[in-house]
Amino acid sequence: LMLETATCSGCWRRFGYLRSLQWRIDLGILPSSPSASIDDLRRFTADSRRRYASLRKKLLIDPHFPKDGVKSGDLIMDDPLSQNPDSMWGQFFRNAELERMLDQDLSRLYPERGSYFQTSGCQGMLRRILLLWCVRNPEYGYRQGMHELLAPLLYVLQVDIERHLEVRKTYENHFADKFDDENHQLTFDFNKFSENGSEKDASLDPEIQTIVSLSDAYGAEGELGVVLSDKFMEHDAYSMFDALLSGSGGPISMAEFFSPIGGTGIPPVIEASRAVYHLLSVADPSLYGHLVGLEVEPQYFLLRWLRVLFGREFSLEDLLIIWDEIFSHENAVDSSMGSSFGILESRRGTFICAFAVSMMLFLRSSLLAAEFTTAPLQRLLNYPDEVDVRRLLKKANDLISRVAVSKKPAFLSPVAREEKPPDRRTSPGTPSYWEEKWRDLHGGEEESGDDKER
Amino acid sequence: MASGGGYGDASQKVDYVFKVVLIGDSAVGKSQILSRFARNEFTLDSKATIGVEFQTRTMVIQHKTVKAQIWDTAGQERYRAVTSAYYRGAVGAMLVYDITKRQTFDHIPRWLEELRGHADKNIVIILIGNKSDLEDQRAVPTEDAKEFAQQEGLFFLETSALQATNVEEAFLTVLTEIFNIVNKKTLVAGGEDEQANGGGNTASLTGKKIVVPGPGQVIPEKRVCCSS
Repeated sequence: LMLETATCSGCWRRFGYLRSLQWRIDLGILPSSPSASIDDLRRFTADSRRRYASLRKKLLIDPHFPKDGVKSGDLIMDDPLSQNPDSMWGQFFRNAELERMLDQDLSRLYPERGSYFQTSGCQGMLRRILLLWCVRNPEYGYRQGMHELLAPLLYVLQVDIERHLEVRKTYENHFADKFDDENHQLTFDFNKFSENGSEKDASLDPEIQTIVSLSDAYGAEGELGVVLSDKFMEHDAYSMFDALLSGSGGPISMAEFFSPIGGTGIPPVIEASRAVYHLLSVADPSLYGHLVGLEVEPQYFLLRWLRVLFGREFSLEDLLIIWDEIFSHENAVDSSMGSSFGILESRRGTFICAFAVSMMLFLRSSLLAAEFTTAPLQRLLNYPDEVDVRRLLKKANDLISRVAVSKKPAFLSPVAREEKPPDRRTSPGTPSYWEEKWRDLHGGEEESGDDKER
Repeated sequence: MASGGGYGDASQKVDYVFKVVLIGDSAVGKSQILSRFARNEFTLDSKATIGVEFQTRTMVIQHKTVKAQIWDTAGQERYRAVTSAYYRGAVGAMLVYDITKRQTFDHIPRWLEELRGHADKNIVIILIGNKSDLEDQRAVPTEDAKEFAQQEGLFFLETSALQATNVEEAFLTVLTEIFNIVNKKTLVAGGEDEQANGGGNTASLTGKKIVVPGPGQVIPEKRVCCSS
């Protein structure tokens, strides 16, 4: 497993350098308030782990070893041949069937990174997490692709844990200073930093200090509160996966994209696909018209793009950068975004759709050159490797600004985080100005984008 | 075989476009069959298909250029979300099971039912028992599948995408049959059908009724078995 240096796309965020922590905050597992202390983070971490531990204890039944070593005495319920689906054995056999299905996909997960994902330890964690989630959410069950939403979460936890171990090794002397002879434990000398240490240890940057205090076994909640802990990777990955799939109360829940029925009567993934085409029709009417003319229905390719949140279209490194950005957009209904499409009511949903449009615009000329239905689809489903994802992300944000402006000028500033140089040619604020700006930007980038792709 | 073709040549003039769908349970090797046919490749570390994937290959059948447009779908889910679009305009279907997994063969009637419920009733169907290279793990006797195919009026072949056995033959069986039906129809129509008589026009069968001979499409014994 390669150690990755902190992402730059997330550097402006509080824990941008610790992706697994930042994501836990963005996904709503840990408090997002900037005033939340390290101890708060540790307490929330410990709570989410307790929840997973009790869930695992409750749901992963092995009838060979009845709980508390006592059989219920109910011959029908304890009979392995019982036809009662609620019997312990019924549940056991259902889980066994589910496990077979999971293994079929897990054994085919990220083969190019098999040295990590195909290890038995990793496979075991992935299997238990998915199994528990499915047992807990029988209305969804397991759907192909869910495993690929989980894998990157486990991966970022692993990367951060390794980073922590490296920090610990490098700054061993800071841990060793207060070596306690009585219980032979390493503890970290906080005073060194917090009180008189700031001058002596100017070399130890705040990032390292934070990593150390997040991982101190003597901090709040003790070991259970160690935020970067390989002992609780499975617990943490589960809570992240559950939050991503359920949406933590926000409108974008990834599980919905696997569901055949939605509130509006059409499957949510189809509705989201239509929302993407709607955005495309605003951003680039001619490309939109061309694809519709070729009968390229949006769900043909968006089903995969959306279900695994672009996981199949990019390398894992690039995907993490994309997810940084997606998760940084709040998953809450934003009344200022009023739209007939559910997914466009939240910033996160809007960003996901805008990113899909940005990906399409990157392939614009080859899509326009296509003559058969399958030709553009083959392009869209074999996305070129050598794409600068940061440019795609920027374009997606620019697109949001533009669409928002055409609806409600006041919304522009909160969305566009990147400082735009003031344009002196025309005065901003009128839709035509932004439309022109978008066209300039889009027209200018398209040439070089397609060159790259060839 | 009667004819064949190279692995795709974009500049070729296309006389016909035939849409063929691949269906069957998860992990029976649908995507591998397709990549063997479209690119002559077999990837040991392939991932589960999510949603729909597409490949095309252009071949020559009786001096006409035919573009096979093959739609591959994930097996685990029926993807109700895309079902009707998936089958729309399909003139051929490949129903795949894994000869080492009985369950995947037992599910074939369900897939057939879905196909008959959504696709054109004259769609040309071939039943395919894949992974014939794993003879020692065989769980579905060839006879069972042959009998089933006969009852249901399907073509039948056992293939190995790994060893490239019968994959080409399977596609050619379907495509040639479709070609013959379309050709017959064109002759009957006396060449009036501008769309289907070549001349640079691409002809898709979308929305057209095609005539397929009744049951008894099982291909001759000698082609059923394994060595190519």
